Amino acid sequence: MPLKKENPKVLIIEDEMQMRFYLMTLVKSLGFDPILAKDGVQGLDTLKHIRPDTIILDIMMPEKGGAKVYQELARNPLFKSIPVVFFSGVDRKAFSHYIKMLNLNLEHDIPDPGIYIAKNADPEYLKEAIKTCVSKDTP
Amino acid sequence: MKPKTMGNRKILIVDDEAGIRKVLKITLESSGYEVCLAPDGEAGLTAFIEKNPDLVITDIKMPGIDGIEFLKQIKSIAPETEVIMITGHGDMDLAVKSLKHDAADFITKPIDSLDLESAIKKARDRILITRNIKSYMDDLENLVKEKDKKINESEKLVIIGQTIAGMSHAIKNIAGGLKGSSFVIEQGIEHENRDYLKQGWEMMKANIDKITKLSLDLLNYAKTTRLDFKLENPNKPAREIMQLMKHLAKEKNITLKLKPCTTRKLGFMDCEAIHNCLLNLVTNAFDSFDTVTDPNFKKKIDLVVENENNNIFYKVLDNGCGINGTVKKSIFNDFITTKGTKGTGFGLMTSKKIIEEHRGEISFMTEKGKGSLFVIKIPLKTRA
Repeated sequence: MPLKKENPKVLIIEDEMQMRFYLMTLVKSLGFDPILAKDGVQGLDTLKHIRPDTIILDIMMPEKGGAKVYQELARNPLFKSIPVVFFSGVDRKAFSHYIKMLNLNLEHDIPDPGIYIAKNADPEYLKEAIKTCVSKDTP
Repeated sequence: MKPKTMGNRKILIVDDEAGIRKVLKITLESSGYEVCLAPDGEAGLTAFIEKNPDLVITDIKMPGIDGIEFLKQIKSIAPETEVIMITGHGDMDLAVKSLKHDAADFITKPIDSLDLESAIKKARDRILITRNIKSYMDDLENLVKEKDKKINESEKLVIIGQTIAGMSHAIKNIAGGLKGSSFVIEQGIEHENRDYLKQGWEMMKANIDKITKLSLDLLNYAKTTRLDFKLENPNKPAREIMQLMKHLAKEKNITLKLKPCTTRKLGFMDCEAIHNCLLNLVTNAFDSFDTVTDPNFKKKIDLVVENENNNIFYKVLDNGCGINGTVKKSIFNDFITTKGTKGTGFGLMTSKKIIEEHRGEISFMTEKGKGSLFVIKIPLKTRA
């Protein structure tokens, strides 16, 4: 019997329940499997068991925010190749500045995130971004 | 900067000897000065006040008010006036004393016209220098005032800029929520998925609530620029909040208590604005229980009004979720919302502005998981 090909997995790290539901619906509509985490800590915890093909990351979250999560991902050789889609209400410029500030304390710079999508962006746009990331991660 | 004009060319001459007065008058008038005369210190002072000359020439030894005393009085009335002393032989001590009292120069009797000319030139130079310094100082003062005004204006612009940035952020978030919810609803319709429809609808309702609240917050914020201060009982806004919130408290199983203050003193305040601040704080306290899942947890909010040292204190104490560290620092100004889709980040900023307009302060203590205490302190003003 041929093995059933697994769907790509997308880890959603977002603290607002309703936004999480929206992202889940959106990921499902692409035919991917969503995995949900309600904050940075839970998100990083999930990564210990599951390797997603893409991560959707909110920035303003309680406990561990998106920037910190991204920093940890980028520094970990196991995770740094997983594409990240930032999805946030924070201005991109402000976020880039924040990443630069975080970099000041590090030996190696963290690259500016490649994909950054505002929370009020069109769902189709977000879908395209997720698709691009998932296809990038497939070897 | 141009020096100011030389001013008037009036000279007052005070001498008890009529001959000297006459000679000086003729000499100076021929040099183009307007000269007035006085025979003694007393008449000299009257003439000085009437004619307001720039320059005074006075004998040092006179009956009645002597020259030194006259000099002192002139300097106390109009310090910028220059005074030349006329001294006799052997008046050196007096002459030196007069210089200590800021005389411009002294000339000795018999008066040599060259000495007189040089003394007058010296005095006029001093007048000019004083005028220039004064004009520099005035200009400097005006410059400082103008810069201050500009700084104030730019501060205002910064605040307006922040307000607009905050508004734009809040609206962007709502737009994001609405787009998300319509996507979920579309998916629900497409796949005939009731769960999607239900969730999408909830999400849309939350965002409608949010935009309604934002418009109210903005309205309140706009109102803070024109408060209406009236004499009020400090307990009044707190009692209004109790009336307004008691049903919701019952519904949410929260024990909401008011401890009014005992003072009968009335204070000047905008009751409606204070009402809005308290409503904001009490609503925040209500929201702090949103994460409570234990049905046996005793949810408590105390609203306390106190009068101490002519200050009114409003305290709102809850035993809810508290505020976490990173948010704590900026809750009053950065449009920070701790409440996910529910908050707009405008409420506390507006409250702070209202309290500041009352020349008061707002502060808080909070511990995550234990609760929060917000304290408003406003001076009790019994007069406008």
